[in-house]
Amino acid sequence: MSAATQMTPQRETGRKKRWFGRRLRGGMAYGALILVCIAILIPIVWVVLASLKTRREVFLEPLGLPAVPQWQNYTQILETAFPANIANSVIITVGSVVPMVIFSLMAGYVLARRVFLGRRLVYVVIVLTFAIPFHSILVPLYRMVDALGLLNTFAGLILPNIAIGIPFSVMIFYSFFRDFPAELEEAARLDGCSPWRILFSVVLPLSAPVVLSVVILQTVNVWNEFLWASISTTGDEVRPWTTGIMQFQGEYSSDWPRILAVVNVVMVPLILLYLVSQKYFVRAFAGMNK
Amino acid sequence: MASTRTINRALRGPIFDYIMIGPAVVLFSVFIVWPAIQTLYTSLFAEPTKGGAFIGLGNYREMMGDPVFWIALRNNLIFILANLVLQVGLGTVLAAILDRGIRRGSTLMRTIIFAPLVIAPVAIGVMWKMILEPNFGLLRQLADGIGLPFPTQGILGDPYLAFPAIIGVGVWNYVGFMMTIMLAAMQGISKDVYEAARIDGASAVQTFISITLPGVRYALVLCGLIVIVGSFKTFELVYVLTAGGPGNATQVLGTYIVESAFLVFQPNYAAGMSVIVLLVAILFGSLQVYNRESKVKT
Repeated sequence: MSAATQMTPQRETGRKKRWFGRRLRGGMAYGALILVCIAILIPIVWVVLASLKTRREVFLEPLGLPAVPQWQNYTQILETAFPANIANSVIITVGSVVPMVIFSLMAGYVLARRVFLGRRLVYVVIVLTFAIPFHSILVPLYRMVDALGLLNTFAGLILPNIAIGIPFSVMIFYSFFRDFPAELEEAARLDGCSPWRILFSVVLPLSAPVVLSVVILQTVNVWNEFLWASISTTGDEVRPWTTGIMQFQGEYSSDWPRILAVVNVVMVPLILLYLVSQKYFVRAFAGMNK
Repeated sequence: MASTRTINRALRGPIFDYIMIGPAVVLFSVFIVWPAIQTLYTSLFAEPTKGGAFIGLGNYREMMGDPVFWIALRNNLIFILANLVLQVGLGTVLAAILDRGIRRGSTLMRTIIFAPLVIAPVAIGVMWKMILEPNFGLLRQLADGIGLPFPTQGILGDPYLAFPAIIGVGVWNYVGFMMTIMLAAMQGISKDVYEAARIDGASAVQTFISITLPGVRYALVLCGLIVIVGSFKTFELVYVLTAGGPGNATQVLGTYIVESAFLVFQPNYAAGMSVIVLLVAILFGSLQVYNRESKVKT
């Protein structure tokens, strides 16, 4: 009992120390995170603000608000080739992502669920090729597309984009379907459903989240693709925005607000898309960790 | 009758399988696998402009004596080491703070830190090129504002500062990616283990080292492999920011391959370097899958 009474004041100071330590740690934790957030945000905010400034303002007041928002920086873009480039990018992206996702889903499903000759081989090749970057196969790819007469065509841009996205998409679908409860399909099979019916009536309706993840991830990939486009297009007819922006930068090199307005036009929609579908974005990007 | 049944059975069996897998297999065989094999094959021949004879490992011997190849390879390796520390290390610490260190605002901060990942590498290159521009760039103005000296040829024009700057932009771009992977792994650790550690009087750092880190080991390996593969995938950022310059100080294999193939017109020499990138992508890419599968098993 006497021991207990002696303990009390010590415990008091101990608790106080711990409370103080927790406060300090909490403060440091917030401090570190806020610093990182500021470092991430400053360049983005600078771009958004600078795109609405005069050239003088960009150079003299880098972080201030624009005195008068210069919306003509944006309207002037309309008179360049840039809107056409954006339209081309839309065609290339939709034309690549839709078939890529359909074909990858089909392949990922049978790889995960069915037994057939060559299954193992296809799986191994996909595992071996999913990390291959464009620049490592660029020359033969260029020669092939040239031989097919597809340079400077949408098909010449789209086909390699589909192909390079397939292995990774197949792997995401494969791991999704491998964890998909087999009981549902088994029940349908016992009811006499063909594999086609099972796929369309049982599996697909339950695959919406993973389809959305792959669509988002590959839309970002194809929309942002630069290297293949810069090699395989020389004219304006099919040029996507990624190589268009480099041209724009070359033409208007000293007109920063205008270039940054162009950067904004491609950056802000993606950030907004990210904000509204964040869950799928994060899941798509972290897809390898499932 | 019998033949309809056979067709029917085939439609439910192998035909279904091959129709399903066919388009994907044809497309990636024609446009990825075949060019990859061609890359390996053409790397054994002299340049078309020099007769194109079979020279065995001649292109690889030339690579061994090419200082720019070594600069590029060295930069790729520096990229890996720097990104292991800065992207994976910082990403892990940020994830731990978000997971255990704070109670409010973690969603907002996660959203902000992840955001640069959705911006196109080309756009990131263009905007950072202006931020780092020597006369009017944001960084120059901030440095002037607090009285720091600024290199006259700019950061990207300085052979010693250009590559660290590219690394810095890469960290800005990707730290949220690593953080997200690590955070997902940390949220998988049972809260009971942390509670037990707290009762035993473990400090925050002790808890991090003896519970959090072992709990996320597969995710750490995954991040490491992504960094390795990502380093050899790097192209746009370097191309837009410095195009490999000044001199060849910031050359990486990606930019040097493209330059050799399409500016200097040495496609078969470029193919030799491509083979190295292919081998790294195949080896570490498949390790990534292996790592994931061993995680699923345990």
